[in-house]
Amino acid sequence: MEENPLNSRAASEHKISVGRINLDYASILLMDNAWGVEILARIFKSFGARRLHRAQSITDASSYLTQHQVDLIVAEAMIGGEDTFQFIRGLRQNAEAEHNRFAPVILLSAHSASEKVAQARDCGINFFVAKPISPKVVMKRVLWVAKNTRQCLETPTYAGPDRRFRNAPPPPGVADRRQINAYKVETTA
Amino acid sequence: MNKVRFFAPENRLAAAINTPDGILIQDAVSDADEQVALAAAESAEKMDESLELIYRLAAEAAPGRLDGLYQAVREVAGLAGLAQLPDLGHAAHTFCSLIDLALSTGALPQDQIQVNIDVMRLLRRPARFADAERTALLDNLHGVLAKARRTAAA
Repeated sequence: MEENPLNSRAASEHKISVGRINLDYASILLMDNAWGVEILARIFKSFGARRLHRAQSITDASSYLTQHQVDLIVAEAMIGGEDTFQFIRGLRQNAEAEHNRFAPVILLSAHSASEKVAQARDCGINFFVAKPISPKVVMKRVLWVAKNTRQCLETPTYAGPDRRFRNAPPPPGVADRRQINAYKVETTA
Repeated sequence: MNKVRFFAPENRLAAAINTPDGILIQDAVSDADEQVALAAAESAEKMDESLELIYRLAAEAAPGRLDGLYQAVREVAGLAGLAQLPDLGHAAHTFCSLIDLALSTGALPQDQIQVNIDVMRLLRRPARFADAERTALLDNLHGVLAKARRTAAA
């Protein structure tokens, strides 16, 4: 019996799963500059994806997302000199476009400027991939995002996946921010 | 009181991937590797366009050139690996960090730019050098970056 990639511990760690992947029905938005989006499209076509949509600007992507539902967004962090962080943050906080609001986002970047690191962390991406991209790494991240069971959360200042990878209390000597900010926690299915 | 809502959105990607049939993951990855390798020459051409821009911007003294330089070097850092030039990609990444530092401190001496440009030119043709020589070139750039960081911190 073949291994289900979504149940494979190896797929989310260092090895690529020996199972199967079916991207025939997945709608994927690729956002990058002209050549970057072409390379991404070639990689995802090899992965079996048929419903690929290319956007070479934030405007193109926004326009596409208002009218179509996507299952995955793969975006370069800077397109045509514009940051993608604000776009992703807007997507996550736009309660009027619920159909794509929490679509998984894999962000690609060859280098993150120091002043942008906090923006990248706080805009609501699911995973960050350092360029140069390799098909193996892209596949691992796609499987990881699909397998991911992290909850999303919404606060007045952030919407997106829970950024904590471990369910650990604050480090010694650091106060719990939920108490400092007086958050009332609600959990919904 | 601020409110935080935890919830689990529908994972449509997982549902799509779990659809029966599909292709073997290892086959998908090897096919994609092949596609990327086939595109290496085109990736190198695109990267060379950015390199030409870098050489031109490095020689100019125009205001705001660091922003343009950063974007072009970042482009090379992303493309060099696809063009099968990992050392050049590494050099470009180090140069990005140096420019990023300069954008916050406001100063990037021309000699520091020049040494990065020179190394990038050399690593564009890596076959001319032995492994140890390429490593030494990259170590030189790491040294320049470390020195700039020490200066900025002082």
